[in-house]
Amino acid sequence: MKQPTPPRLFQRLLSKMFSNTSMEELEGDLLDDFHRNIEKYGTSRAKLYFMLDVLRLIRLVPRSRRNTQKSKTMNNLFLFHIKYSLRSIKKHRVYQSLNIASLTLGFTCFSLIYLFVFNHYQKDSFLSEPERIVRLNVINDGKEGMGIHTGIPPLLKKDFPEIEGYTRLSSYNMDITLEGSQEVFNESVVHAESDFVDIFQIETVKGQRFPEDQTGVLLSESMANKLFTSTDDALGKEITLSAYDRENKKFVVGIVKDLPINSSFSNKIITRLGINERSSQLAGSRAWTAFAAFFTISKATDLNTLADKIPRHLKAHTTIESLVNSDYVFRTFNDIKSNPSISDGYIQAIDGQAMLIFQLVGLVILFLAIANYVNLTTALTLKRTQEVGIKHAMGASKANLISQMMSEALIVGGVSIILSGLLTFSLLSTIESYIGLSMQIAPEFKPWILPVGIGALLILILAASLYPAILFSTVKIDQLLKGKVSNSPKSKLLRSTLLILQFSISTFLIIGSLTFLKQLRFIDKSHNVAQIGDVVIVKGKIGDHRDVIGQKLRAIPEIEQMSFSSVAPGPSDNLRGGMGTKDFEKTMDFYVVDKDFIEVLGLKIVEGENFYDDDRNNKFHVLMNQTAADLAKDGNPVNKEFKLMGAEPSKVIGIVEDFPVGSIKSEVKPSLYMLAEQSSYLPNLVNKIAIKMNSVDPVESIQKIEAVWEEVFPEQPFEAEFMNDRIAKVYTDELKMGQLFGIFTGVAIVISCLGLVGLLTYLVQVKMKEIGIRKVLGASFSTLAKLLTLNIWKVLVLASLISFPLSYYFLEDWLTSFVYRTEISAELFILTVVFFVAIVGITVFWQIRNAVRINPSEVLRNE
Amino acid sequence: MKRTGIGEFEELVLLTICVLENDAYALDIKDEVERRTERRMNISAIHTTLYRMEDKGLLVSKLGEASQVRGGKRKRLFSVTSFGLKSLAEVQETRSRLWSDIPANVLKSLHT
Repeated sequence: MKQPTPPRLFQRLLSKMFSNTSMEELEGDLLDDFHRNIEKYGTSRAKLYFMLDVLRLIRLVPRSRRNTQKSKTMNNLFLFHIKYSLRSIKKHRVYQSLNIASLTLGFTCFSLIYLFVFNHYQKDSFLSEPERIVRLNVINDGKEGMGIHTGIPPLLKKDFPEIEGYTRLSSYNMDITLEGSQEVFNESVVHAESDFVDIFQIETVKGQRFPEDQTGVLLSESMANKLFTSTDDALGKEITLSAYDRENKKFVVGIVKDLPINSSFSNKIITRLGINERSSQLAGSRAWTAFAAFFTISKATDLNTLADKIPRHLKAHTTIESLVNSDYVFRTFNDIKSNPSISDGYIQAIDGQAMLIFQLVGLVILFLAIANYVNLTTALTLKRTQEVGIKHAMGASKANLISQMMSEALIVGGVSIILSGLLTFSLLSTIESYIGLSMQIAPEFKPWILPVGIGALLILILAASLYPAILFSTVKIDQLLKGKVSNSPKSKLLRSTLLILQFSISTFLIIGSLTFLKQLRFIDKSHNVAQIGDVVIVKGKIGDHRDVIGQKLRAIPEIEQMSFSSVAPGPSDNLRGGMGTKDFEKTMDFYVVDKDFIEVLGLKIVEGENFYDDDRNNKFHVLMNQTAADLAKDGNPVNKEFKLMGAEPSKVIGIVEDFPVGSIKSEVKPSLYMLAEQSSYLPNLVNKIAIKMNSVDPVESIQKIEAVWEEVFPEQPFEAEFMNDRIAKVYTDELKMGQLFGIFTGVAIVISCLGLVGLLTYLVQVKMKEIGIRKVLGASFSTLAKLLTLNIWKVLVLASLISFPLSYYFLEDWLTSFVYRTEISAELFILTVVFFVAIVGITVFWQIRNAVRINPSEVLRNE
Repeated sequence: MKRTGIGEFEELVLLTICVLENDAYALDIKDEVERRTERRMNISAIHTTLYRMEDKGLLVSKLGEASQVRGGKRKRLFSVTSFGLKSLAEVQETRSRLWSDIPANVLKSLHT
């Protein structure tokens, strides 16, 4: 009779569970039990019991694994791991300090960048529904503007139920004086309407929610404390706001709470916007005023459909064509914040593109550091095969070896994190003042950012160390005693890939920095900074007094030449007028200059003549810039006469090269340069004196100028700046970004070179015997160098092949955002290659020199 | 009272091993317990208990000789340690002290 057997599957499961362990008896016991059960209960129930028993025994599996017959020396080695890791780190201190250095650098850059970015995203986190705050922009001829006819917002509020509130808003700096005090404060003042405090969630502390009429003003707590002794004291007091020669006396009617530090708008001084009722009429009146308009909209409103309805709706209420024919678009609060080109100066904006670049650079640097770590650690691992073999023999399991490597990674990573934490905090204030942005994190987020950041970095390090750890643990025992498995192709491929990636990124960054430098130099050159850098610009309301001050200034011997004008290259503080004429396609800005203007400011006449210095001089002569000349309808305007101002026609005698006024990224506007004598009101526009000096001590000369100024204009403050500072202001953002980019590039190069040094050191050590034998056989330094570095040059070539096209593409894209732009030329790439070859060459030379100097007998002897 | 940490089932198994005069093997223990309690036992439950008590130090075990009967698989033989005996004695002492302190009128119902 065939003996019944227990179910196969479970039998196999059982032997899987307990064979080769100290609990092998279980198998026999269960089998015996099965046979006895057959006698007692019959086959089927015996089978059932068997299966149930097997399942129940699963809980004993961990116990049986624990008590394997392997030696227990390698178990529970937590403390041992730490001790051993410290020793091994000490032994390989060169590599490990390279590791720590590159990780620290990488982490520091990364955390600085991300603090900055995080800070940016935390802006205005106190607003409960920022997505409901929108501004209406008008698009006319493809240009987006934010000035909205003052009649439109009330109309929209009345007719569109989606719109819950609106405020027309204007914000600019005003001088503030207090009664009985000489002190003048210059502060930004918000002119708005009553919904403003609700839209921007401004809390009232005392007094009125919003001024009832033009005579009231709200102060923030800090402003009240600054101007008066306390907030109680401030209520009801009178202050005088003045701008553009107009003075307004106002009474403090309310105190509002200070906004959190991370707000991108201000509420220091709030007053009611004065709206002229007649110019807000949509029907009839042709003269109208425009202000920015903010709205709150109800939830889940589709902004596009709402904006599309506006022109149609306006048709019923107005006959003004430009209003009906324009497109309207709602910009959300967050849009405005991340796009400086549509920002209005009330809401501070940070370029979203720059933000993105920073984030990418941060990630790239982190990647470089991690890649370096993986690379070096892998190389190091392969050097430690003997150690692995011995541990295997002592009974260490794979898990043991991996956890050994992990604890080393933990120590190295932990040290780097601590170091970079210290570095970050010590650098934070420097960087803050440097980029001019406060990096203070909103208080409610501070607690969790630290542990999360540290945890994430540690996890990253552990994940990165997994590869070398697994490689470390899979070394075969039999290979150990043979010594070298260092050159296993698998690890070589990975290391080369990482190295190529690293170097591609580095070359990309170098090319980027060089292009940046070139662009900055180009800007400097196009402004002729070398020549006119030390021209002093004095600003103020000069107007008709220019002859008086001119005469006095001429008495100062250091002054070589000067020019009175309403314009100078640089920031947009120039007084300009608009002028339209039928002979040109667009309206032009016009500026008042004098005949020395071109010479003092080092500008070039590209065609025609400068203002004449002799009796050919005529007050109806004008100059225009290239952009304006291109807009003339009848071809070249030089020596033609146009009716521009007054009854007499003006004659264009020359064309001046374009120079940027305002941002370096904005287009050059068509401009006309006129002599002040041409019309009676033009001299009033003059607000600058450009002074060319030939002095040894500019500071002293400026003091002399200041003395003259105070004599002529005792009521005006003296403001002077050098031309190169002035021009630098135009591209401060680019300059700062360029410098930051340069720093990051530096860091990236340092990290890559650290990795290179580590790898070379390793390579040299592995090949020590080979070098020894070759030396004995008479190899020269150059042959040895070639032998050792051939691979690295290959990596460099590959990296260049990858990064050159990519960098060309991206940089070309970036450069198009400048109106004045340099070209990406071959010399940049050549320079990069030379630079890299030099750096690699120095590193390689330094490493190989050590290797080649060794006495061959020392390396060869120890066998 | 010091906690000996012996559960009811553990006590039962320990006593059974003593009855079997040590060097007992899991199946014999199972049969003995079944016979004495007239309950069906799972061999796996016996095993778990045995190993647990071994870990606690109440039992020691050794592998027996390999025999043809079980396809060459050896048996594990369990013996009570002196610590195990002491623990058993403690349990019993605690119980008998409790028994002796039960007032007679409560016990009356047991005899009737």
